[in-house]
Amino acid sequence: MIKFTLAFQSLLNRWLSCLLIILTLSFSISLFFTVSRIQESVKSSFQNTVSGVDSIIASRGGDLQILLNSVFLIGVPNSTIKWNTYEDVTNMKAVNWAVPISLGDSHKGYRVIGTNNNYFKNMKYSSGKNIEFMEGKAFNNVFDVVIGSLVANKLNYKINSEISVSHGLGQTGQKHTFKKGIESNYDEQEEHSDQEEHSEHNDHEDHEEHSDHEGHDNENIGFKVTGILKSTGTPIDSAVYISLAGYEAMHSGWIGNQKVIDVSIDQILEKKLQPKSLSAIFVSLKNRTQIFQFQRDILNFKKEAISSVMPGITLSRLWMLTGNVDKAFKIITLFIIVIALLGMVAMTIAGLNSRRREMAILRSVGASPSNIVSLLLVESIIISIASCIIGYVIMIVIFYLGKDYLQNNYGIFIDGFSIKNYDLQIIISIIFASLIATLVPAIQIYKNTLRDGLSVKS
Amino acid sequence: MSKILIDIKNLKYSFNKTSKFKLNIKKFILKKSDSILIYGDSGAGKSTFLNLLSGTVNPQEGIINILGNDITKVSSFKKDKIRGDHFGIVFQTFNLLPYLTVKNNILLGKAYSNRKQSLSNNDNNDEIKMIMDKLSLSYNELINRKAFELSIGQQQRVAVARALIGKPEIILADEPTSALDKNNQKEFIDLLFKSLNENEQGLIMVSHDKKLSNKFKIVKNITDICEINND
Repeated sequence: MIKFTLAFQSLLNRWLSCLLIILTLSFSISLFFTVSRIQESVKSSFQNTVSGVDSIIASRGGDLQILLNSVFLIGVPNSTIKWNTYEDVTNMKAVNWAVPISLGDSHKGYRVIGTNNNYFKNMKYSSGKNIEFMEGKAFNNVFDVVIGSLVANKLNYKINSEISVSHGLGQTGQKHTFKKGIESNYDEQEEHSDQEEHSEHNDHEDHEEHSDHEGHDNENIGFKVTGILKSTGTPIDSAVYISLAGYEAMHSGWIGNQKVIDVSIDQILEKKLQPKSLSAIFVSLKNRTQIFQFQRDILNFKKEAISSVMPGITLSRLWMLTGNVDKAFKIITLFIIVIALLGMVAMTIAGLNSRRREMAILRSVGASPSNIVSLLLVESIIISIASCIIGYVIMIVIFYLGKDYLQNNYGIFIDGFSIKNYDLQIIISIIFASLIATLVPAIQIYKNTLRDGLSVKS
Repeated sequence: MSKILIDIKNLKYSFNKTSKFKLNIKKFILKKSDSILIYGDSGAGKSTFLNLLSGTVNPQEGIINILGNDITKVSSFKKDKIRGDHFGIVFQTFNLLPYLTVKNNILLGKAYSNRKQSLSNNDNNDEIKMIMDKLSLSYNELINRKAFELSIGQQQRVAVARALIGKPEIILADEPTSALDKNNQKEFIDLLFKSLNENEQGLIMVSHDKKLSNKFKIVKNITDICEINND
């Protein structure tokens, strides 16, 4: 007991330098844990983006591009596939369900997805969790809109908020508008004069990556929010969902990327709002073992050139590309821990000379050089355990304070409060590393004690 | 015949092969209840002599027999154990760890010795109180004080208490009075001998002057014991 008291009191005697080294170590340890947690969360939200979807069918193209486009809503949409193809796929024997999506428009930088209510019913995330509504319900009418939680938070939308959709993927894309009779006629000229002002006023720079098309925005009313989804930590949170009929409706009067005539809502509703084309189809098979046969069937599909992408495999490939960045971060934080440990060694070595008298006293009462070395090691264990505990607490505080911010702004869910198995491994590794690092001053002190004996040097 | 505690024969020591300092001891014996004062000038080899006795330096030749164990033949681990078990050592000054309390400084005396720990029948506190009383140290007042708060005189007496705890057979003292004034020196020596007499320990004290020699049974110049070649 006295030996532990000795180590503890000796540290306490040098409290300032010890405190500094403990703070350095604990901050670097908390940084490591924080980065690991965020990395893990990003990885899991990344890999859990789609669940229950066995195949994504889109116009023939690269796997990654199709996945980025249809799941992560990144990049320019591929060319479209025909509605008939969707019907053919739905009727295939192996298919359990198929959900069509149409992409290409946006709302204030957030991607608009045209789909049907099966999307909310069938699509899953995070290993089989259903998409749930926080408020409201799915589409009932042509102009109903369902929004992800991040969109609702960022843009402060509630049920019944009226929103408009811009053509193209930029925040400043030309607005889809409808003629509500003569008085609400869309004034194209006014819109052009607003263009500069709006392109400077950019509230959502973090969504710049979505902005692939130039365009301009206008405050016109078109759609009404009827449902807000619960947070999922996936791209679902930052999407705006409209019905395929709504999607078709807002493109009435458009040819390609150009609006050619104004159409009134009444005129639109008289039409049959059946889309002619789609961007992609999410498919679930009755039996997953049929996936390769299904892939072949899609490849040999005669009516149109389409591709089938297996999301799981493609996600893994994509993670291998992007995961390296996270590895780099982790390596950097590991280096920070190493630097902090070097600081500890420097402190110990700097203190050795002034402790030679202390060591001579210990030698006089029978302490062997190895006892003295072990005293040093006990001190480093105390420092590293204290640092790990403080570092862990700092991480918990960071996540406690930053949890909502991360979730609301980046869609990152953090489970920071439970001890995970690998945490313990890391803590043990850090303690072990600190012991290894202490061997340098330990060898030094071993030599000192052998040389000094009982002759007390200053 | 009283028991021999230390028996040195034909000892030869030099720092290294090229060193001019050479120390030879033909014969030296410390018996139970002996008190030997060894005096000599600084640099005469007094500290080296104590280092040899306590086993922290090794002679090139000869025998150092401590309670029947030739420490020149045993491992350094065993030497440390012998020192911890059978020696109490007091230095010239700065004997204590300043950040420990008086109690823990005294307990340090047996922290590395199983023998000393097993010998204490009493509770640690009783044993410490007994020793402190003999050394005129107020237990109640000082026991929980940090060592750096004590006067030099008190520190040296606490150092003696640390050397005495666990009843080691041999007490080595390396100029323990040099930092004290005359009155304190006398008082210190009186108290040291008072605590020794009851336990029949053997004492070797080295000092640069022999003014304090009247209490010692044997008083020797370092050159009488050691043939020192320091050309």
